[in-house]
Amino acid sequence: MRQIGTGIVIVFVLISLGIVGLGYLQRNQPDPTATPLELTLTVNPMAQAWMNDAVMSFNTSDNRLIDGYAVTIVLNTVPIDDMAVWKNSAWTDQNHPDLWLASTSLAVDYAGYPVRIITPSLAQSPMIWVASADVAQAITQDGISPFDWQTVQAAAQAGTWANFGATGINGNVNIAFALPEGTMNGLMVLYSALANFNQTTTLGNSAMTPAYQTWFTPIIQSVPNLNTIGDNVATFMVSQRGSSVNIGILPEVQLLNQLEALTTRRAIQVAYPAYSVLFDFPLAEWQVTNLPEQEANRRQQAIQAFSEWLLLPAQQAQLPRYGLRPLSENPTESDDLFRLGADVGVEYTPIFAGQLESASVSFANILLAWFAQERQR
Amino acid sequence: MHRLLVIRFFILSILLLGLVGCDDQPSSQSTVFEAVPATMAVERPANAIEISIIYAPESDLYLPQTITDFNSAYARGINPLTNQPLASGERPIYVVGRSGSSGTVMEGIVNAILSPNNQNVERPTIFAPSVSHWLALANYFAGRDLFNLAEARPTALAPVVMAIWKSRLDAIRNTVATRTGQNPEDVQIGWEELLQVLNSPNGWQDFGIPNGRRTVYYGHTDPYISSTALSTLIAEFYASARVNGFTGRRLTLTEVNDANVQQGVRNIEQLIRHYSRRTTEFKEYIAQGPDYLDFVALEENDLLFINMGLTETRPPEQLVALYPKEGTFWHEHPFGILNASWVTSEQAEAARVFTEYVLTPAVQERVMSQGFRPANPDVPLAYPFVAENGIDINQPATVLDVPAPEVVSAIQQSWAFVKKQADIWLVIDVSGSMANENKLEQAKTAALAFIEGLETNNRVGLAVFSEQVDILVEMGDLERNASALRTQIQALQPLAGTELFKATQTIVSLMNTSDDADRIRAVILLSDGEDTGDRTVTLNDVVNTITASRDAMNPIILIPVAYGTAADVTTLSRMARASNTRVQSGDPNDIQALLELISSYF
Repeated sequence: MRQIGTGIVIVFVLISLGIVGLGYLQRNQPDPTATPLELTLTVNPMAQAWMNDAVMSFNTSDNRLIDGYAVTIVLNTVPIDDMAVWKNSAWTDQNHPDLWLASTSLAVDYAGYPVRIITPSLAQSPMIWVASADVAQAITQDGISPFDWQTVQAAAQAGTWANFGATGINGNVNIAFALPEGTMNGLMVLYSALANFNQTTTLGNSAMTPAYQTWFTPIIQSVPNLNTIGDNVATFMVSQRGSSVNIGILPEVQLLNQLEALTTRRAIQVAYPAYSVLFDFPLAEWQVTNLPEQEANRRQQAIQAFSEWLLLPAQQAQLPRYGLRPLSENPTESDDLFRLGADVGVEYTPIFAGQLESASVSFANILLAWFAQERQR
Repeated sequence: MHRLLVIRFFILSILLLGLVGCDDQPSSQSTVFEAVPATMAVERPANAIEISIIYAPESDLYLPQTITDFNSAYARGINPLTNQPLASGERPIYVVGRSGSSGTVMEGIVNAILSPNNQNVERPTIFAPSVSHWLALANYFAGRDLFNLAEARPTALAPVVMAIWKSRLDAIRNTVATRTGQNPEDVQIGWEELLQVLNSPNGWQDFGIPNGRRTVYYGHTDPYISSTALSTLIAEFYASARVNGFTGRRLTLTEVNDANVQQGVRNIEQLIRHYSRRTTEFKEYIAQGPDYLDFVALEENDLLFINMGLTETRPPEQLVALYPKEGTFWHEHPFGILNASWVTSEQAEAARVFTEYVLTPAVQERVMSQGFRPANPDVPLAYPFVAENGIDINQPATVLDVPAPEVVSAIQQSWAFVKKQADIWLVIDVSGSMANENKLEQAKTAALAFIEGLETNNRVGLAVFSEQVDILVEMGDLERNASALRTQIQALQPLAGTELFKATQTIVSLMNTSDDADRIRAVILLSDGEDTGDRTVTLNDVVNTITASRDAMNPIILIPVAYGTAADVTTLSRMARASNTRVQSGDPNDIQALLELISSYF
């Protein structure tokens, strides 16, 4: 009898705790009369992994609660390259995300959509060279010359490793970079070549000299099949098909995310082009003009809250885990990917002779048209 | 207060029960959907975004199941990429798919843009050929970027290989090693060495194969339709161009149009025993053994398919993959999303979701189990990629550069004049029994389709037999005698008697007297019954005549077609064996399809 009594007491205690807990939860929920606000977000593939985790974290944080209503960021499960957004007219007034995290501010400018940059940069990643260690040794003459566009071009000009005079390396000089007509990072490779050839940080028609065109053509011819490299040279290099690639140029973030796989397959060496092109990952908002004022204000508040949250030191500190560089702090030895990268030449604080500042959309189109024509030769 | 507590308790209980009920529902639905067989269609959710995919025939091994799984997840309200319930406002996706030969589908897509009233028009959301050549060609022919090539992600990898019998490869390796003083393991083999066998006075016997044939038998498919054939033909042009002094990286129109380079390709094509439309057939042909073919151009997955014992015929010895030293191509099975008016931005996005799904490790494991190397580098190579299956995971060491689309197109067009032409006798039984079951009428329709399917550079003759053998149209260029052939075929009438042996003997002997070493020599023999002749010619005579031709540099191929249920399959099989071929069986319902298939051999 006493046991039954004890059981009833325990049941009532549990029920009471449950009711108190529910009450607590209710008090901390957003105002049930307010409609939750969902913002859709599409990102560049290079930021997808980071943003996937960041969005999950944001959606469960207190920062999403604004004036009694909850903001939920809905991340598009499939990332999209900036070039597809720009060239394929991927979005319409009826079908577009609220937020777009592109890989570069240039792409946002080029795309021509009614978008506004909220935050000019959330993360950074420079362009980087990668080569098999023996190839790096050969083209730099055991480190005497810098591993840069000029040395790579000299190898491409030779065509085969035998012609280049490299002993122990067989076959053609095979270079890999993403297709410029199809990916933003491919176009950025062309910018990197132009900036380094002309030693300049502003690109325009005057940079496309006949001398440059002659100089760059062997590099184009050294890519075995530009059509199928895709948007990620590092992934290509670790795949079965990429085993014959000697030298690649790609965003550092892509390299770092495949570094372990790459170094398992072969000894590699990396280097930074002297004149850098930087992926700056701006966050842009699709400008909606037909919302009622209150709703428009709420949307603005929500976008601002998400943007500011991503810039918080705690969130910025997450970036190196994904191979990206924070805005104000450099990666350190405590960041695993960068520490692993340091062994093959990744620098915690790379120093550049200059950094690309501008290239207009009309120049981009001229450059892409020239490239398309040149690679068909 | 107590009453309030009791009320809250009941409300809580009801809520909990409700939650339990909700949990049960998806799980029972899940059980039902997971039990759906791979081939069974999943119901399309009412608000689904529907996309379509046309893929290369070999992807039939894994894509139907993949599509079913994908559709099933959405039908259950689950996003198959995240395995999470669909977010509010997220629409399900529904995929419909079917296979189609890459070249034919590519033409259909281009027609949809340039010639929408053409019979062959295709409007898929995703085109997944075996190799990206087709996407580049589609862009070239359409004059616009139908496909963003950088976005066309590889989904399954397979290098093009020469599937060659191990005994043959060892023979070449050992002979070359002896001649050059190398270790056999160090000998690299490619087109150069295969041509050495062809040009050797005693053929395989000079390479240490006792009683080996004087000639080499090789086969590949049609480069207008088949990806493997297109890649192989490009590789042949590379090999020939190198022999003729080409030192550049990428073939250009200069090399393709060079007469010496074309002659080199023609020399390689001289190894051809016969062609075929589809790789599927060649897998079965090569499985018959070294007597039928010495080597065949295949995707590596096809070789694994044979070595894993999945062909109808069990090969008598192991086939191994030869990765030609001159280089080969990777087939990447790219998913090209159409940039065309019939694909909305919503569908394009849905197509990207499906592409991502195909690249997930679980699907890539399935892809690998069917003999394709995974495109997702996170999935390590495992069985069936073991040396015992005749492949080398460290190959290919040399990969050829893909030429520009106009060069690939020029190579395709060169096919008509570099391919091995054929002399073909079409021999038709017009005995009285052919009047039954409408057999003769169906055979006439099929014979006309056969003639239509042939390239006009071939030479064709027509003979019939009943109680006698009549040559109705002498062997001649199809371009010139097509009209006579049609007229004679349409006028065929059934007559008494079946001089099967005499007819076969006459035609094979006739062909033997006109040995043209540069052409395939074939006899297509269509018969519906036993020999009822005077037996002045016996089956042994026929077999001896055919066998005698086997030792010629250019043996005659006899392809007997057993037509209808009364055909003498045993006799026809003996004739076929003498010619290292197989009897093809047809009836009035499928005789046209069968003869169309045989026409693709030439």
